[in-house]
Amino acid sequence: MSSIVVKNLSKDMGPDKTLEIKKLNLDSPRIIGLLGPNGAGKSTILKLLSGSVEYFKGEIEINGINIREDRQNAVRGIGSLIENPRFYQFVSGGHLLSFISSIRKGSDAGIHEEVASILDQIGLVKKGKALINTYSTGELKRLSLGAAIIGDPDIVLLDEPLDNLDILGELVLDNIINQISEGNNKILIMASHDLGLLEKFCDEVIILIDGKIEETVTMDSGNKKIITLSGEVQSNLSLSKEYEAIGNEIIVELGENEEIISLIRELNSLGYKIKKINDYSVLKRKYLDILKIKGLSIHH
Amino acid sequence: MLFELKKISGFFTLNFWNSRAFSFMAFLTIIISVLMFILTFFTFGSIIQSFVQEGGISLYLPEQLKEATFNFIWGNIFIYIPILGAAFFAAGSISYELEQKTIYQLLSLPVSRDVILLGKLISAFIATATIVSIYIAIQFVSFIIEFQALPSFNFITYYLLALLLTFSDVSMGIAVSTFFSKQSNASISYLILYIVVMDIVSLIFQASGLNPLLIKVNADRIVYRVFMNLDPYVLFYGGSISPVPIWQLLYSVEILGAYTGCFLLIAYLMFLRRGIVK
Repeated sequence: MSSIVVKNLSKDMGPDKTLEIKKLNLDSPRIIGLLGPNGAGKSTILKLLSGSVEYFKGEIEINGINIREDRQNAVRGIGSLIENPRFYQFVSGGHLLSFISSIRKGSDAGIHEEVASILDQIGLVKKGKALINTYSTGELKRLSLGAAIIGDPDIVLLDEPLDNLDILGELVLDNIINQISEGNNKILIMASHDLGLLEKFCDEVIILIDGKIEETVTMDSGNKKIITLSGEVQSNLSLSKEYEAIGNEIIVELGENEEIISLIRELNSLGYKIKKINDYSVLKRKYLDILKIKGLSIHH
Repeated sequence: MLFELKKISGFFTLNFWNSRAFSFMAFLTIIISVLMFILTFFTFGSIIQSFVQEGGISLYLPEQLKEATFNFIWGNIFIYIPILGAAFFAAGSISYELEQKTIYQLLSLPVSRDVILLGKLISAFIATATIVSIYIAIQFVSFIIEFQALPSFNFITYYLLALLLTFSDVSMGIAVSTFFSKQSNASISYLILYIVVMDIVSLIFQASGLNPLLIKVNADRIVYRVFMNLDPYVLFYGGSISPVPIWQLLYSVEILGAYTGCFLLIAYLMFLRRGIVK
C-alpha cells in the first residue's frame, strides 16, 4: 500500500508567505485534489512531495521512507508533472521517456516495450522519434503526462494537468486518471483550478488558502441538483420538496427522473421557467464560501 | 551510481550534439579552421617572416622553428574555442533547467544531486571537447599538408592541455550557470567575466608587480606556449622562442587545476548546499 505522511511541514514561499501543514495522511487507493487561489501553495506541496525541493521544516514520509533521510528511495515510486516543463528540445520524445524510466527503475530492462506502450497511451506513436522542438504545445503536455506515469509509479503528482491540453489531451488525461484509480496501490494528487476535473475524479479535495489547509471536502454531493430559474426565487415559495434558494437558483434533493419532471411542472405552474439543471457542486459552494470569508471573492 | 551517471551524461550529451548551438559552434570552428588554413598555407611564408623579424630572428629559420611558429599561431586562435563552447554548453546548462522549468523533473528523479551535477559537467565537457577536437584535428591535418610530416611530440601535450583547458572552462561555465535562472544571462556573464574582467585583473596584477600567471586567462595560454614560450598578452614577460620549460608548464597546470577545483566547489555549494531550487 502506498502512503504519504506529512507532519509539521513548513516552507517559505516568498515574502510573508509560508506553507504550513500540521498533519496530512494519505493512503492508497486515493485521488486527491488540491484547490486554492494562485500562490496558495498547491505547486509548493507537489514540489516538496516530489523531492525536487529539499529545504523545508518538518517531516515528509513517502511509503514509510523519510524524504530527508533517504530522498532517492523515497521518491523512486513517484512520478510528477510540475510547472509545465518545456523539456529538452534536442532529444526525441521516446528518448526522454526511456531516460526517465531507466533512471526511475535503475535498469534498462523492458524499456523499449514500456516506451512504446506509453507513446501509444499518450497518442504520440508517430512523433516518438521526432525531436521535442517539433512538438506542439498540446503534444508537449501529453509527453509531460507520459513522463509522469512512465515507470509505473505508485504516487503520481500532477500540477495543473489540464493546462495547454487539447481535446485529445483531455481524453489521454481521463484515461490516465481512470487507469490510476483502478490500481489499488496508487495515490494521485492533482493541483488544479478546474473544479469540473476535481469533482469528476477526486475522492477528496484539499482547499488551500495562504499556505494552509482550510478544509478537506469529501466529494459526495448525493442527488442534489441546482436549478437555475428565469427569475428571482420568492421568499415564501412553497414547493413539495425541501429546498434552499439563492438568488435565481434553488438547491434540491432529487432522486428519479419523475421527481425532476414533477418539480419542473410545479415550478412552471408557479410562473418560473427553467434555464438549466445541474448536479449540485459541494466543492464549488464550499470553495466560494471560504473565499468569501477570507475576503478573496469578487463583489458584484 | 555509475548507471545513473552514464544515463544522465549520455542524455544531456545527446541533447547538446543535436542542438543548434552545437551545429553553430561546429560550423564556426570549421570556418575559423579554414581561415587559419588559408592564413598559414598560402600566406604563412610572409607571416612567419614578419613574425620572426619582429623578434630580431634570422630569416633563415630552421624547420623546427617554422613548425613551432605554425602551431603557435593556430594555438593563439584556439584559446577562444573552449571559451565559446563553454559559454554555450556549460554556462547555460543549469540556468536552462531553471528557465525551462525542467529542473523539477530532473531533481525529482531518484538520483542524488551530485550525480546530476557531475552528469551535467561531463556532458558539457564532451560537447565542448568535441568542438575543440574538430579544430585541433583540422590543425593537425593542415600541419601535415604544410610540412609533409607529422608534428612533434609537443602536439600531444598541446592536445592534452587543450582538454584540460576545456575542462577548466566548462567548470567555470557550470559555476556561473548556478547563479542565473536565464541561459542568456549566464552565457553573457560568463563571457564578460572571461574576456573583460579577467583581462582587467591581469593588467592590475601586472601593474602591481604581482605574478600575472596567477590569473586564469594567462595560465590558459600555457596551451600554445608548449610550442613557443611567448605570451603577447602579458607585458614585460621574459619569454623565448623555445618551448615552455617543464616547471613553468607544471606551474600553469597547477593553477588551472586550482581554478577548476574552485569552480567545481562553487558549483557544488550553489547546486547542492544552497539549493538551486529553494
